[in-house]
Amino acid sequence: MKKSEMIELVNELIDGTISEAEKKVLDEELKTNSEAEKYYNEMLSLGKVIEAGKPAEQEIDFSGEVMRKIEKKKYAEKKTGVSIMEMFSFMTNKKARYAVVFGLGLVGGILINMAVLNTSNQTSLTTGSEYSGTMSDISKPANFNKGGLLTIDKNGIKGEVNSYYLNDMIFTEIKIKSNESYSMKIGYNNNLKVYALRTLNLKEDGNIGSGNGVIQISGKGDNTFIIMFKNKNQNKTDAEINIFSGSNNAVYSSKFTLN
Amino acid sequence: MNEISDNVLVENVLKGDTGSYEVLVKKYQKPVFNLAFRMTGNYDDANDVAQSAFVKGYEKLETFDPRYKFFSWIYRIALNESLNTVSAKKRFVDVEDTTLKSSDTPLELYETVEQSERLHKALSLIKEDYKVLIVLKHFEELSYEEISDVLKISVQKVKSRLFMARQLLKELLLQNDRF
Repeated sequence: MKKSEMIELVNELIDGTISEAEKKVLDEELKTNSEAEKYYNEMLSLGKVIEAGKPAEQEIDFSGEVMRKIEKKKYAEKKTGVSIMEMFSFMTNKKARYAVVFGLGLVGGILINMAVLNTSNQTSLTTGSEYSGTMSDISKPANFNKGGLLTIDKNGIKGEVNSYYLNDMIFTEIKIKSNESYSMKIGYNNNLKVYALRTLNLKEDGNIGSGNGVIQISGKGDNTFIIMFKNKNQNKTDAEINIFSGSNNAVYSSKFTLN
Repeated sequence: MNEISDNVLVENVLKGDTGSYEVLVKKYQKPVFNLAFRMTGNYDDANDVAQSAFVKGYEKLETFDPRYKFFSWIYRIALNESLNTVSAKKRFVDVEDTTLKSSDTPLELYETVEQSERLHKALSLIKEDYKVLIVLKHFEELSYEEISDVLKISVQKVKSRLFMARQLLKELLLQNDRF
């Protein structure tokens, strides 16, 4: 068997696309050709290495953000395209045409203002004290530095937030228990970048997503969310993570110095 | 309830129903984001890339050929966006991923991340044309035919590039004694 043929058959075997007839031929080759056997074993090991290092699926929901961008672009295109007066050129009465355009402008202005206010609500997060909790040390996991524990028990929402950190990495675990639907935002300072998001132990609804430098969790029932952050900088830096209730008041605030 | 087909949704969008595009975004945002994440190695970059791919997809929707799958089409846009981002940065951002399991303690998690980083550092050293094949086949688990659709190359070419990609990756990992 030619080497190129052997390589193709080994790869097809690994991908599970080899035919029965080809497999028989390859099996014979592997028994008698030590080079083929070595190649096959190396490819098997490679498959294991790739599988072990395979990046996990990340949770995300940016559909709202995409649709906002599309609407914004559509609006900008209309603005730079045909003039609005030209669009109503079919109206022969000039006064009526101005009245319609003015009316549309007024409605448009209100809609834009609403959109801007909506956006600023998402990004202008401020701290507050609607929720309060007791910060206390948690038992220190091997090699990781101690973080903080907050107990949340307010308005039917019970929860715990634990953080651990090691070198340039922060591991934050949020456990929420609520019979009602909830939604919270997690803000973080510019020294951090999001490394991974995950929902764990999902009992009922639960979502985690990120956008505009803010992570949002929402759900109902008994859920655990994991967020990992990493230091953006090469140097020692301060990290700050804040968790906000729906009304943007801080539930939990934690500061670390990362090496 | 029957799911509306992608082609019907595309037709609706082209008739002016923007809401149908949101259905498509919701349906494919996760795989598109994960492709971008696995190509760029950075969550925030992947978020930008995936969103940009969907915005571009909307703008270019008239060019979509309904004989092909919408998924392959948007996937290709996301792939090109990812490659542009990576090439603009002229580097692979340090790999930012991990496989989290319920049982992972922070320490186990850290070790998993280290393993993952070694693989991705090796991947970052091979040509993009080859890396794409590893990502699509092993991480996205696409078939030869699906990869052929996304990359617009023949199935035979998919195979030969994939086999070469594995060969190169194997040699790099062997050099670093990762076997």
